[in-house]
Amino acid sequence: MSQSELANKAGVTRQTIGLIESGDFNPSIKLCIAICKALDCKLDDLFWEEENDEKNN
Amino acid sequence: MRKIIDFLFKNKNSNLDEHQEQVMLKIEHNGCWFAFWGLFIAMTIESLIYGFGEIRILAGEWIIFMCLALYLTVASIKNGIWDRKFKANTTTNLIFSLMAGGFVVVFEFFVIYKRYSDYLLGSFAAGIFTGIFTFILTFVMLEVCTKLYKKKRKQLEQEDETE
Repeated sequence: MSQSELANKAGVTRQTIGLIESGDFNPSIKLCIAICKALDCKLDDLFWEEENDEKNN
Repeated sequence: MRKIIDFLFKNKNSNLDEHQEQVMLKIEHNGCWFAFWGLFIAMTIESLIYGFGEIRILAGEWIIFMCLALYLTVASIKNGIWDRKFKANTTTNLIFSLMAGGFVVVFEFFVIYKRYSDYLLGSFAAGIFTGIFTFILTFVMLEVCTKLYKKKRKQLEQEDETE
């Protein structure tokens, strides 16, 4: 699925999806759920962060 | 007419997504502070040019400036917010009151000296006098606001605990 398609399904702009992917924008839980529903997966699958990643960020 | 009113006021849906809303808030935030300081600078310059005798020239800017300042203060205290960087305590209030007083001493001196250039000492004295009163007034207002803010903060914390 392209960013535009995902953006359409989640009800946001493609720019926002791009910013979420690059870690430059923190979506609300509501938007996280909308994205998960669009991709048919769970929150943990998409938005889990390992401890090492947290330290690096 | 009804269609125009409906068009302007009834459409509650936002065209912006989350991120755009955040960006919009940032833009409005910057605009608000630009207006605040812009008005302050405009009033300062107009006072220096025209002096205090022509208060009616400043009236428009002054009303808007005071409404904005009042709104920001009341809304912040109502929500139990003080400032991003500074704490609500007497030391900080003293420092800012001194800064306000100092600014008024300099400003008042120049405004009066411009009008009465023969009275250097008198202009300086008037500046000091007004500066001291500004310091006292600013300090009192800041202390009152600090008290209100702490009271509201306590109330909000207790409300959260009860829930």
